[in-house]
Amino acid sequence: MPVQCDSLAAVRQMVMEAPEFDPEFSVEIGWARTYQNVFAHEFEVVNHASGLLDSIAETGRILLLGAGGGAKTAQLTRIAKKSVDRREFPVPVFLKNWSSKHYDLWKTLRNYSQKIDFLLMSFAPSAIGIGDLERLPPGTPRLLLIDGLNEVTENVGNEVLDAVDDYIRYSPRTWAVVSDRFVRRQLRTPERWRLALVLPLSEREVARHVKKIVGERAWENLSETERNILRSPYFLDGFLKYKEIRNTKAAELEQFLIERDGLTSQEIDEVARAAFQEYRSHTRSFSIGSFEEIAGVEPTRRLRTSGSLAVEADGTAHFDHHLKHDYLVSRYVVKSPQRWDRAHFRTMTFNGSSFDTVALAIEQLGSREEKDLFVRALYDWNLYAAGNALAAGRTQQFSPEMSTVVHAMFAERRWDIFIKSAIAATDILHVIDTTLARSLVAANGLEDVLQIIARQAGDANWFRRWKALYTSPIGSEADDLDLSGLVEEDSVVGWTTSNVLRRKILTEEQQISLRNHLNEHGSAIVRWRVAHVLGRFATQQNAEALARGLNDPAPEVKYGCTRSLVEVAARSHGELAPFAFESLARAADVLARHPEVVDEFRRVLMVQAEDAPPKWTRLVLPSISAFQQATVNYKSRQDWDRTLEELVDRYGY
Amino acid sequence: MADLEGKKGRAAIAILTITIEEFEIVQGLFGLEENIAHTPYFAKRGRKSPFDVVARRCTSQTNAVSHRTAGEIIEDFFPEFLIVVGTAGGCQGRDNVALGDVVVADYIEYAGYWKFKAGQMLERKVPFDQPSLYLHQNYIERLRVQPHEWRRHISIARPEPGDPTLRVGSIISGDILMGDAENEFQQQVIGHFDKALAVEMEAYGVARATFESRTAVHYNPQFLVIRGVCDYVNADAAGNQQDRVRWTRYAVSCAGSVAIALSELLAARSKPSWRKRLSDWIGGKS
Repeated sequence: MPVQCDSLAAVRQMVMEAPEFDPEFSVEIGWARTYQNVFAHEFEVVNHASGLLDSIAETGRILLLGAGGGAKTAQLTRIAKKSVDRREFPVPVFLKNWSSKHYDLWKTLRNYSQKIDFLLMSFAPSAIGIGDLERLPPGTPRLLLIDGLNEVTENVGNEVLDAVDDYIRYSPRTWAVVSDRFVRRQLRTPERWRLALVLPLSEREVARHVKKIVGERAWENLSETERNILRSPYFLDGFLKYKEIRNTKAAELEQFLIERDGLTSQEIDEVARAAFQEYRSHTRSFSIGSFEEIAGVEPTRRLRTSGSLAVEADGTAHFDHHLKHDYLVSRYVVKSPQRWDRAHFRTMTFNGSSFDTVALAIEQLGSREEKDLFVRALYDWNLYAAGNALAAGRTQQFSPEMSTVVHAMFAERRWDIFIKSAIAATDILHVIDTTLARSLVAANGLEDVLQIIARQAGDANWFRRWKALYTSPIGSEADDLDLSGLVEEDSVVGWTTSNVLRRKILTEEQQISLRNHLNEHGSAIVRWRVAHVLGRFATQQNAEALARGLNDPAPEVKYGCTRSLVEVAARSHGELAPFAFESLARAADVLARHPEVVDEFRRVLMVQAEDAPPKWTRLVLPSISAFQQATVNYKSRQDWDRTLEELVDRYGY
Repeated sequence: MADLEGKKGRAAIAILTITIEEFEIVQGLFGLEENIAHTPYFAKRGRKSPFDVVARRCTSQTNAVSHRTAGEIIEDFFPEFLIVVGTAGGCQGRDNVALGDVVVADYIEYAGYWKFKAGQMLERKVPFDQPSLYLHQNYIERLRVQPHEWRRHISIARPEPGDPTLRVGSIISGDILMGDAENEFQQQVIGHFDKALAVEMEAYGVARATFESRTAVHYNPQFLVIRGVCDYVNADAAGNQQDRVRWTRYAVSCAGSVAIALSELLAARSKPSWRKRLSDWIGGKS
């Protein structure tokens, strides 16, 4: 059957004409089968990116991971061209063009074939659909190349992955490569994906290009920091073109806006404000009209003229590289400490799914004190954001004391009863990758962790007090002073107290006092910390208090009580499980109005195998059933199916 | 239908079982002795793709797991026929269903995603395939009428005197294990599906995977669920457990015997090459 309808031919043509880096950089890929191995940099093999397609037939799915500016898009372009040479049919799908209207449309799609059709029709270079691909001869391999999973929110990104997974499963001779930021995803069939990490360019590769194009002297004059920045293909490409380099990525991006786009510092601030407003809808595409209204006509014109801002015929615009948009957003947030709050952080990081903006923000802060304050503010909102702030060699930019605190918080979580919290904490320590982080990863237990932290130096008074609290002996009796830390305004002290109390012995009177706090304290954060403590003490009275907390008006308290009820169910060896899960089932209608609580409930059902009572899956089932009923829609149905599948896989039926 | 190749090769018939016990009995009946390297699949010794029959089992009970496993089978082999073989709890008192009988589903009732509201059970529908009319019409009916064609394969002694019967009817597939007549939810479900002959926990998952694989004209899988009755779901829990201990192996053997008789009939059809090979093998020539 002839297949070359116009749209298919157009896609092929566009693939062949897509521009590539010039000069071409030699990029290496580290291959792994699990995220754990990727985070630990334990690769099965490291080879040249040109071999990316060689192993695709084995599982049909590759997740191409890497930092922003790491040349993932360039690799996909190369793969596409190679695929045409191999007489396959590659279809690139660019998620950077995702706009707010796409979120609305996406919600209406019910199954994987609708979703893949939508992705193809909306984001392939020429509108084609599943039907067009189906008309290809059955023997012709199809290759989906989905670029920029990180361009959409975490939940939508996960749904895209699921849809791709199903499409590959049920479509003969069809494969997919999906590019994503270096974040852990919950893959439905992890054994069917291969993970490929795009590694930073080797220093030798950077030197080769710099010496050849800019000159031997230029290479010798580069500092260690500058050489490190150039290991990112995006920045090396800029250096080879413009022969200039700054000592941070943020400064480099600012310089570009000044020199290439011709903006003044004041104009950049206005552009940054516009860029931030556009991130509120969690998309990198936006209406040029709304952008111009804030950024101003002249700066917008200059960005368009220089090519930094690409505008489609329908008025949809996006920056030519997301790092520019990220820089502007981080510049806007970092400019004023009043903006260092939950709402701004959520916008800046796409709801906690992309932390490049955090790194760029830190580079723009002048002193260690400011950086410490910023990371404390991040910590108040999201522990993982604080951890990412320290990643990629940035620990030196913070005070040793603050750095130790963040390390310690993750180290403790490695022994969390909830598997996913423990895994995420280990991931973060891997990406922080300091000597301290490595020793904490190697620790054999919480006792080891306390000893390691006790050895960390720090002169600040607050740090000495914190360290004494953090390292207080496991199993010792708590005193009333210990309990008072729970109500401290300082979140580091408050949460450390909450964690430490969980390792101590609490009298019945102290637990009564905590239950009263959970019921009555005026601060939702304090009630949340208390709920966290009570989860560790699996008694009927605490379970009842936590069950009442499910109806607390504050979502964070519902969140904490949900987690702790599951913990109580597990720690009571199943004895309190019927009560805990019946309470959760009764509250399902209320909790279902808070998606973050429902998501957390699903997450914490996966408890460590040694803590899971016998028949854990069956104990949990009535509450799953109640949540299924409370959240009846297609997406939720899939999520609960997946939860049940994971429960059965982990604990049997 | 195009001869489609999956990631591990091609196969005409794929058999899915759930428990280890079920798998071992089915493996013995079909002679699927050799593991296909680096996969959970078994095939006849010395065979290479295209395979006549491959078999594997789910790692656990529940529709969620069978859905994933059936999807993997389709991805790996694009089999022409996908057959679930195992046991089920019979609904005592319906259509004379008895222990050791084989229920071949002609309809799958999914007992999940219900909303309970003001005393009503509101079903939330999910699309999924129903068992193959082609297989029922051309082969299962024949085996029902001529039971000696499948009974001769039964390899395990019957716990009590009598003969098994092949019954065609609907089965309930849910996510909650049933086997306690006193359980309120179970009573609701069995009462709601008042014609169902048996209850199990995997058919819906396979049916949904089969449905989801129908996105191209090149692939038209036929699937079937064959279940031997090993206990009664509407008996008291203790009696139920006793029956299961006594009857499971025999019930699996009966279901497997229907599956192998069906394979013989499929092999006798005219004829791509795999059918001849299947026919030769069943006839003992290889």
